[in-house]
Amino acid sequence: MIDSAMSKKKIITLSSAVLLSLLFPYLTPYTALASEILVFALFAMSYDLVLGYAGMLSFGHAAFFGIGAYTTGIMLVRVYPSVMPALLAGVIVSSLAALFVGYLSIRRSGIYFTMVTLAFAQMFYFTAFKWTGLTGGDDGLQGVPRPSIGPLDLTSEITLYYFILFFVLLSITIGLRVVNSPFGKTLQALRENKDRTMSIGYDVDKFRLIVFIISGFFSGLAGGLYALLLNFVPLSSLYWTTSGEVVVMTIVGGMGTLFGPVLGALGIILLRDIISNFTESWNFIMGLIFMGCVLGFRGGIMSIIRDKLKLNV
Amino acid sequence: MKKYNKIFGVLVVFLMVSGISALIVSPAVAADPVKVAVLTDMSGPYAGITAKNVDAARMAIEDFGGKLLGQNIEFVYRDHQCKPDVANQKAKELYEKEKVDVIIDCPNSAAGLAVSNQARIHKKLFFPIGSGTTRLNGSDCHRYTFHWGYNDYMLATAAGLWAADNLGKRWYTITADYAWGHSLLKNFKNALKSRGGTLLGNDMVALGTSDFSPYILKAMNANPDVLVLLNAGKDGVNSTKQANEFGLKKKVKIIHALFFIEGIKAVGPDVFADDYGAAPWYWKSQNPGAQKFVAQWQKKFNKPPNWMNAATYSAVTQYLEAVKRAGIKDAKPVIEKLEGHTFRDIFANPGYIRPDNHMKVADANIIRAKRKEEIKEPWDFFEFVGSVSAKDAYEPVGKTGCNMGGF
Repeated sequence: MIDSAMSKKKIITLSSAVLLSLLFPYLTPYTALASEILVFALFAMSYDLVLGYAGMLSFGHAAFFGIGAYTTGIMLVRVYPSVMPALLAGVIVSSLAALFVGYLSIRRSGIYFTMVTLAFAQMFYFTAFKWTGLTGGDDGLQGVPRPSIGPLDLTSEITLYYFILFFVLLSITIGLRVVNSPFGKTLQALRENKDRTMSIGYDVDKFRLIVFIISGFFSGLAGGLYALLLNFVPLSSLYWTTSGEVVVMTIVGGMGTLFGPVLGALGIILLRDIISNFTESWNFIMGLIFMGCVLGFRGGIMSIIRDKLKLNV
Repeated sequence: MKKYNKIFGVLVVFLMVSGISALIVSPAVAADPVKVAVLTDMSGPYAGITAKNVDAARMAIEDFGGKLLGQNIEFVYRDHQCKPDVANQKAKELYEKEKVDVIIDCPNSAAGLAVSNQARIHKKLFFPIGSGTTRLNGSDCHRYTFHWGYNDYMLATAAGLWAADNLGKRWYTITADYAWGHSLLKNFKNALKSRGGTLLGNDMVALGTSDFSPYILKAMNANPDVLVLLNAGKDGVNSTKQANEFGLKKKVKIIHALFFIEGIKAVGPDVFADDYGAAPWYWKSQNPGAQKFVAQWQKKFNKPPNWMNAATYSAVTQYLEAVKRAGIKDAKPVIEKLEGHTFRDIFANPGYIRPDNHMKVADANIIRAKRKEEIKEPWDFFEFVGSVSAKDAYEPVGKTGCNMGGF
């Protein structure tokens, strides 16, 4: 009985969340901002798989985001102007990059892991910076088209929003499935105590590598969608500041919650956009907010919701 | 239960934030009045140079009379933080939500190219000023973008031709090793070649290098007449300081790619004393109305305007004039009024908008940084030493790689 009542409630909330996300572009200052929030929500969610669930502080996730964006962009500009193959290529290449970086860096943990991932990401950044012929270098990869998919005219911002929303909802569903599976539980176990997990008989490195690749996959998808949204790929998408941004979004939102990073992306991008219209010192205000988050409520926005609204049982 | 609560929490925050944002956003305005936007760097690395472009645009609108086509001219500005992705998003907001007719400025070449692409998509005008890339009037040119101010070809070619004629024909170059440095080097080399000079050597130096002594020593051993420093910002300051320390300036003249009064103010006049460079404009200009503009600016900000401020003022003024001539603010007739137009204002005397690649061209000024003892009033850091005609300073027609296309 209780179960069926709960699932009923769950269905109601889920469908209203979907409804709200459908209306979202009409509530933000402009449509493209809503799309940007979605892209970073997806990126932050994929990052949370690594940081929040597996406890690996990667500081090189811009690499997978940027590689996804560049691959999708290069496919569209130079190879074949069709969206789906380009996005597919983006996620494949970024997953392969995650396999490469992950394979070499998961042997280390803690600060060493962080530094190795940062070093790899900067390596990709400088490759793109120097390889002007392929990536456009400092000018970014300009003129990424948005070809239509059948009747879907992606040049319209609002259509593109729903196109991105489709992928984001799909990814969140898969993400939820992953973290609630035995695989996800194992990840959380090794986050809490690596040695004990190992002693039970789990191949810890394999789990860490797999979650790293899954995260790279979704980061690449976010990057590909970002290239479509912007009509170009900025070089900064590979830069360490992008990695920093996604760390901040995840922490402010609440790591290890999957929904928290989505809220973190929403809050940070929206606030930055609004505050920067009023004052040049927006960076200062964002910094204060971040410090407040780290000092005051470590669990992020999600923890406030839980505590203040007494939603947690 | 826990999961359900989480989802509910998400919903609540979602609603609150969305509600707040909906309240903050101003209601949509009627599309009728002419609306001008400045999109510039107000909090990033160029902010010290470009943030006041907003004030320059406001002044231009005020001086124009504030009214056009029987309605008040509207004005908005946005900070792109020197990030191309932000610039791109803000351009969309300005064109779609704010319904502006024109976006002015946008330093940073990647940002300029991205916004130019948005201008083409939205069929609205864009006047890049702070972004110097020649792609804006070369391979990436189109009907809706008018490049005001300068481009990298002009900086290199004007300074190069003048230096080869007046300072000497034996050169050494030190180049920042990335696309901007490479493009400048190519144009400097061409200018030198056209005057029959020789390049004794070139060093490619990684961005952010702090020790330039090996390159300076190599340059001194080559014994050139002119040392060309193709770098900017901190690299420019470091390389020049070290050249001074080695006593290179006693025998060799130094040319820089780009000069700003703010740059001299920041490091003091000693570092760049007696160095040369090309400049689109300097505040001692005698162009019509320039001194009135400078006096107004001095009164307001207690410092003279830099050339980007003047370029912004000019771009806004010429845009408004074109709308006035067209009698309508639609993009197509206004563009037709701008193409091939010749004008005289504070920034260009005369200025000409080339129809073949939408570059606003004017004679380029060559300036020399004054020595400390020569500086008689605050901020008077430069002296006009010559000029290069617009015809020589910009790409020849047919060689730009621009295919203008239709509307």
